[in-house]
Amino acid sequence: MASRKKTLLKVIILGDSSVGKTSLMNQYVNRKFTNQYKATIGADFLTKELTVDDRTVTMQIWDTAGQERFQSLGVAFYRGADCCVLVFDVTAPNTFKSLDSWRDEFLIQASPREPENFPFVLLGNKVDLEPRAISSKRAQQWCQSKNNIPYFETSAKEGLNVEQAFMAIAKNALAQQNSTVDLYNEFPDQIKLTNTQKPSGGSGCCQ
Amino acid sequence: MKSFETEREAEQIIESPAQVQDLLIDKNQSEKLLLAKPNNIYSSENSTQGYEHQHVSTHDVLSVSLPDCADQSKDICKTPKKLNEHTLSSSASTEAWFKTWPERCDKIKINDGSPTKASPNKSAKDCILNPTQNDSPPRTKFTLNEALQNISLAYSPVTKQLHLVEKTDCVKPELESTLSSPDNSCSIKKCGHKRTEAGSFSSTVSTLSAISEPSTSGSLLSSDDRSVSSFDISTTKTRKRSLTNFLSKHVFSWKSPDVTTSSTVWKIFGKSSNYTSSPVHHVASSSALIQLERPSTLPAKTQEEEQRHRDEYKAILLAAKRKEAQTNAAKQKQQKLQLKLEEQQAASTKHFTQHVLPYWEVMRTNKKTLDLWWQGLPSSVRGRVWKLAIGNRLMVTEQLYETCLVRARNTLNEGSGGAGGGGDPETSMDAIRLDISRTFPHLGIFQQGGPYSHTLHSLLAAYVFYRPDVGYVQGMSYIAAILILNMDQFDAFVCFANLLSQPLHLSAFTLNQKHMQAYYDAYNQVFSYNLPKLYSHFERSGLTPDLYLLDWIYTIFAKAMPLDVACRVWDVFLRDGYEFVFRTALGILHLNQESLMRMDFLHGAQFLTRLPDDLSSEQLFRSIQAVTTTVGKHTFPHIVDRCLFSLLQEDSTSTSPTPPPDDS
Repeated sequence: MASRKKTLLKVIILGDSSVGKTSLMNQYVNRKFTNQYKATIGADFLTKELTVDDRTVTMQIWDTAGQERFQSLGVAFYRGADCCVLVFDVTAPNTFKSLDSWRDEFLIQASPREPENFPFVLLGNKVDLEPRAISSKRAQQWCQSKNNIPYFETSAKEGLNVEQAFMAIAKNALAQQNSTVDLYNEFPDQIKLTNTQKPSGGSGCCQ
Repeated sequence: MKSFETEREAEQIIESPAQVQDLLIDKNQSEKLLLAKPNNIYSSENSTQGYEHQHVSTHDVLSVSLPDCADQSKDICKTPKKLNEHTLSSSASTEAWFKTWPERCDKIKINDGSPTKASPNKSAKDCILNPTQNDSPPRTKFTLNEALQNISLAYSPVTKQLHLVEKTDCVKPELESTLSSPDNSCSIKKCGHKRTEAGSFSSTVSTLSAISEPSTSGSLLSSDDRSVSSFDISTTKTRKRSLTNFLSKHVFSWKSPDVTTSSTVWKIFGKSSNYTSSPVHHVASSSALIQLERPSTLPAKTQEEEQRHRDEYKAILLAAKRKEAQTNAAKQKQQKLQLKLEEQQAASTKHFTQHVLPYWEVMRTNKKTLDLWWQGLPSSVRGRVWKLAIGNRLMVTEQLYETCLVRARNTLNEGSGGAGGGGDPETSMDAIRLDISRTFPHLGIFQQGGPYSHTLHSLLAAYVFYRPDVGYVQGMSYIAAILILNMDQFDAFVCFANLLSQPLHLSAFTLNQKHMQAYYDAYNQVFSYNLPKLYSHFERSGLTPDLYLLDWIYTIFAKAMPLDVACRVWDVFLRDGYEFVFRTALGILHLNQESLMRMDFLHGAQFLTRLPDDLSSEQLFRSIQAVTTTVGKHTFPHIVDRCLFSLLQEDSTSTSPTPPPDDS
């Protein structure tokens, strides 16, 4: 497939304070890590160009503030996102618990056309640290309960799995863009129906 | 007894190196010397005795002498203490510098090379000497270090000097020291010719600092004092210490006495002394380029070639000289500028301390005050002016602060499990804990183990209990940190509480979106009024103010700007009120409008959320001056009110149609 015109992807990173959102973004874009990051207030932005299946893609990464209270400011940030990256700290159980609220809040504020099919990616960060509080199994279970969200265990500090995770994020975001285009161009109603059926069953299981 | 021997020994050891200028000078000689080298002589004069000790030194000389106490003890006892005080403490505020003798000496040095008078400061107690001890001959040979380790030193708060402590407690020869700068040369001045009995010893600074370490047995110096002294010594090299206090970049000079408790802190502030280093005048050396005769093994150059080479050589030399001259001129220019700046700062400090602070209500609106204020408050008065400018409308008392602190501490001690009703303070506490170390991380003073980490934690925790409805919101840590850097903890809390009760920040930290939208709308209006082109560019690319303003409002630029620039913005923010935040925002856009015009949405957002590190405050303030937050007759608060009104009206019109569908 020849490279088409430039594609722009908006990716938003959410998660509790201090789970390493800014670190992950900087590790991915600049391949740097420092423990001198300032707490993000409002939002922070970085871009990265990458090639996915012979397509040149510009990824806009929106890094957000982690404090829950800033969630209400999210509308401007969340709108038009192609993929949402949820991050938690594998050594801090609280950050895992609040994943649900981050996901729900995102779906409410961004109000994507197909909430149940919207691509999320979950990153369990700080795997270089001990002791671990959330096992891979537990995280994977959560992902399964949310319509099979891809899960990656990363270390922004050591650059572990970061590249792979963001590649998956890009692919998911692209798939989302393509599917919405197809959806509205060709046969909107049918697919919408089948798609909504599946996830509603899935969410029923987990709740 | 032992001390005498060791002193003698010390002398012998030190006298030997060639660089030591050990001069025995009678009065006539010393006068000559004074005439000859007035800048390099530190004279110590004992007026009651009528003779002079001359501590003669080329620069970088330290001299420590013990006056000849044996013979003149009686007379010396009469030496008025005044003399010493006159010499050493020119101002009460600098008292702290004299707690230890290296500082004292340092101070003398700071008087910048001019002849300094220092006289032996005698208290009666010091002079009780046992003459018999003087007769005992040296028995063993010590090395200097061994000797020094055996000396016990004690600091006397009365004389503000160090004294040798003998176990018998009857001999306390007193140290009188004059030191200049830490090189390896030193000079000793003996008093008269009888030094063999009482002796004097001299040492380099580095040795002196070493004394204070092993002398803990008799020393009353606290470890803090010692760390200070070693720092002083290291900085005396610049010979410009007195100047650094006036530097505009020296943001926290008001704190110097406290700040000295940690040497790491000093390292941070030490940066500012870098650019005081005196210019070095290089001379372009041509010796390496002297054209030699062509080696005989090579064919001779043609006449033309030789001429050409000679010309090229000249051109190279000329270019080198020109460059040299240019850099020298630039350096001189910079130095002049620096000097001018320092003078301005000094004048400004004087104005604020003498005329403004005592008569605040009258003078705060004075034209000169406002002008000087705009140019940036001198760091030495900054905290005091801020405090007065912010005021204490909330009437926060020290007891209130204490109460809040106690409650905060109790909650912290209960641990995460036990807070029944305090679910919100609980999460606030967690957030505070996470954010403290992420506040000015490059400074290293709010991080774990840093000197202000605890202070920042206490202040923020106390605020959570002072305003539980607001709690802790990210961004607060920066505001609190800026205040802590400029004033004491309680004052910082008062200012923090009052600052956050002002409409803009109360709206921001309570996340009142309607009000924030009103501010954004008002900002957009003045933005399009001031910079219409850039405004429409931002409109087109979808770069809305909430994406970059949020961070600036929440931290009042403390996070986005270099610290010294941020402090200057704070100065005027506290002078002009919250609208200055928006004016500064426009100033930033004005300053960078050309490059911003070329940026797309994301690069613009990226640029504005990460302002360049080398942001110049002069340029920024010129840009701020070029923009205004007043449109026509409407002041900024007026515009905000209008925006808020129309927002509320929109709301009521949009909510009024909704009831019918609800009803139906």
